[in-house]
Amino acid sequence: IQVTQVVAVVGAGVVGLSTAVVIAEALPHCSVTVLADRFTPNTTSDGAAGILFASQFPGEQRRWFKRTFDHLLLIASSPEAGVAGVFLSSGWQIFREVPPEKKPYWSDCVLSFGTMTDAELKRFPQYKFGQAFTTIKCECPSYLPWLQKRLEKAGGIMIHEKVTDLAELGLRYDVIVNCSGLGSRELLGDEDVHPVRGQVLRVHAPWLQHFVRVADGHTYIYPGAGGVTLGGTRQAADSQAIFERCRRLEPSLGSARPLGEWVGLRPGRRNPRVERGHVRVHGRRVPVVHNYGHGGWGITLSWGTALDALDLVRQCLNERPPEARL
Amino acid sequence: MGFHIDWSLDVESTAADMRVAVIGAGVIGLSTAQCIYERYHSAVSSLSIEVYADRFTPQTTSDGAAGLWQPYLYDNGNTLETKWNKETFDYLLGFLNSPDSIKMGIFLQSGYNLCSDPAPDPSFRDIVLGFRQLAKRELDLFPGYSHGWFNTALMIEGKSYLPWLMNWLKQRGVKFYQRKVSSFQELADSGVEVIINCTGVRSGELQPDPELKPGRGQIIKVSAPWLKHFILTHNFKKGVYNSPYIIPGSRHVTVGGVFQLGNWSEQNSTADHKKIWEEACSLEPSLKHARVMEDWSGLRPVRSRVRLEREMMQFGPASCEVIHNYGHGGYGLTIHWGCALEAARLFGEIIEQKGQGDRSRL
Repeated sequence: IQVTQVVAVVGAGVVGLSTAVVIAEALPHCSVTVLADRFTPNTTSDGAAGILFASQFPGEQRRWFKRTFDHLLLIASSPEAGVAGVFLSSGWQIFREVPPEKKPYWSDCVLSFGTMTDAELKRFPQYKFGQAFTTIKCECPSYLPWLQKRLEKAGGIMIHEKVTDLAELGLRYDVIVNCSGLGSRELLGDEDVHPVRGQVLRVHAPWLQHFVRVADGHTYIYPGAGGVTLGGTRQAADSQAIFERCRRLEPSLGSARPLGEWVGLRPGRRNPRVERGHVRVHGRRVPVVHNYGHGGWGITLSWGTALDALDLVRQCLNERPPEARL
Repeated sequence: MGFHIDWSLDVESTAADMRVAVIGAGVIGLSTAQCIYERYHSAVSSLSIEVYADRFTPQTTSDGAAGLWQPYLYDNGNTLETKWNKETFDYLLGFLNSPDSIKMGIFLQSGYNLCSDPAPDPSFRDIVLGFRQLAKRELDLFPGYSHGWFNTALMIEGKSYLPWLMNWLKQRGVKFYQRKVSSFQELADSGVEVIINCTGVRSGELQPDPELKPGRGQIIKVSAPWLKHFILTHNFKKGVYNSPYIIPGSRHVTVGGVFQLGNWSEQNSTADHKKIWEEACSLEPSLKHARVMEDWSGLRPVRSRVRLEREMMQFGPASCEVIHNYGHGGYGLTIHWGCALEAARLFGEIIEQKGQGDRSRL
């Protein structure tokens, strides 16, 4: 008889839910419980535009991005695309100066990638170089509920609870998976995690079908199913400034109707922490698998890091037989 | 020599006006009126333009069309039409950064043209932006299609463009009359000197044309705001527009298609709806969760080539110059500006022949 292992996942953002689903579906003898103080639509992930796009993290980036992209592409090409909020998005990334690296490492991960033609660049007279590609947009206000349903279908449950002490959790669970994002700063005392403020505007401009992103990441236009996200900033800025920068790139925004603003705190870290740890509970070591610190790349790396976290959870479970809980 | 004016037409004009009547208020009629006004209202100080139509926006064929700029895949040697298509594309592209672009219904859209068999590159490959072959990974998304292209084109939505054109014309004193013109003679007799015949699919009612036939189309409007690309399929056995297409717009997604040559019915058909829906859902599975809004049927004015030429008509003592501009099939929005320019050029010829500027008629 297989004894059910109880796994706690802390955090219900895109990383937490992806990790919980991956574990619940792969390990039927595990009972997965997600604990979080915030659920969709109140997580950091919910405010993100969700365009899949990678950055320059060292290490496992490409693998994480590729696995996430492939997973989401399956959803985008399925009947569930609209329900899950996962769909194809084409557009352009533009550079003021020609970059040294014209083809980034992720160029073969996205659906298509090429250099913009002169005719395409004409629309952006102050930019000398551009990339045209088709990627995926993953909108968490739809995707997170979709993941939650998938979690429940796999037998997982969700509890509204703010976790302040991993040791306390260790009394009740065999393995703890920490996906608490920015919360890890307090929960673990990890001072590498720091808030990176993001501010976005949402507008109604249903004629916009393409994303436009300035390579420095400070200005972007991301059309979605319910509105267009305009951003952004990595420090305090005036919404009007965001709007003006975007309108210079896309003059038709002058006809857009404002929908609202959102400010979120990205869980910044020099790279995501996906590794094992433990917490001491009455002299016992309860394994912890960390999966946090995805910065502005949570959605982009969610499934790939979840799969790595699953491997680590498997390791933990294989190494130690379950012990009676106190 | 005097001429008889039928005042029952309630036309506002003076005897010295050079009266130009445009018949038809779809995209062809309105844009031709605009083009002629733009180029000749200062050269011909007495120019008076009137538009006659039984249907105005939003009831015209142009209003129901999805509005994607895209010609048929191949022009079969008709390089003139390709030229007109290119002129239209470049003209509309020029408006993209203007504050009016959305009022005009113009915006960029990218998407996929899919073929069931290998096919040569289409006639528009050098006109659109970012044209390229589809990679295998992209084709894998569309089972049953082994070949295809991706490009960025334009949308030009009739439901916005036509009101914008009408406004533009009204502001410049162009008069509109809602009525069905029964003959060219009727207008000539009232003193119209030049008629621009933009009567589309029903041109045959004014002058029989065995080459002109209706190409009935039916579309389903749905709400599926996650769709951001057009997807057009081409089945060379079934013929143009008889295979599924999905074109997102600013207000809804247009799903088609059918192309029924010779069918004059403007009623929606349940059988057509079923066929269109099943094929579209095969192509784009997420349509399963789209909200169906309504169907619409329209008659494409199909002809082997656009009829864009002058014809001098004699009605007893009165004569009238007619510029025909009809038969744009399923590519009226796509080709309209190039045709308007050509029609304006023909108008210029007429002006020259009559003598420029203000002259009383003989």
